Amino acid sequence: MTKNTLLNIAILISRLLKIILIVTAIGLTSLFIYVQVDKKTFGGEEIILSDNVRLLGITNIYSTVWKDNNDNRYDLKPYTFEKLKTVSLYVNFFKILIIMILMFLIIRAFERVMLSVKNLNTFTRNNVKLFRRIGIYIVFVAILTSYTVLRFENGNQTMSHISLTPVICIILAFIMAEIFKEGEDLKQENNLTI
Amino acid sequence: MPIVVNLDIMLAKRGMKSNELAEIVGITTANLSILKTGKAKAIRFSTLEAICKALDCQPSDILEYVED
Repeated sequence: MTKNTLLNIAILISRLLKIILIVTAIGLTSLFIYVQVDKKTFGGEEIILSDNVRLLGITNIYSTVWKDNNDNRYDLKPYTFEKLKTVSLYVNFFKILIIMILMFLIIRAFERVMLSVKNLNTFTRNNVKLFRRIGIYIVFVAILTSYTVLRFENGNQTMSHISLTPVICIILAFIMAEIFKEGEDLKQENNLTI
Repeated sequence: MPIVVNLDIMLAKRGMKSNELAEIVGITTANLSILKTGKAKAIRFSTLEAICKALDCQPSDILEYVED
């Protein structure tokens, strides 16, 4: 099993993904700090929520614009970065950061399972726990990605997203945990057969 | 479990030590200990045969059914 190429490639990819996630998180945090110092750099950039192609899901986007308090007219460009409320910026930044941390933990847990399989230590209580943990992490990712709110000075953008993909992943993770639990029980029974 | 392993009694009757039996049967002392303490989930016919041969006894001398 130590020469299993596919497993080695998967472990390598998961390590690469972990590095990419760390670099992205550092980059995002740096950008977040930078825009606190100099808000004008991206001031004119428009932020528009879009429903990208997502399989097995329903996405709803609601946009509202209201009249400006100063000149009593509708804002023609209400969704620019400079008009994004600070609270909204902070909330969305931390939300993305938490999602990235959860993704990192999911990849790390999966990598640990693959490493144990590689070391011929497949059916253990620890792997059962790891699969259950993966399932729980996906639940949190699904909750966090299901709702996005951007509050601007003269408007709001809300996106709600319900998808079947994370539900399938959660079910699969818990099924895998049960399979590994059964495997562990069988292994123990085999060990206790004299 | 209602199956009781009377290996200790047979060992005492034959005046044999656990490690001697383990060596003759070809199992580890740890596994023999699991068997003696009743922690074993199952016993192979080949192991039972080897134990019976080593102790010159019948399977019923080693295994006993006791109702809970």
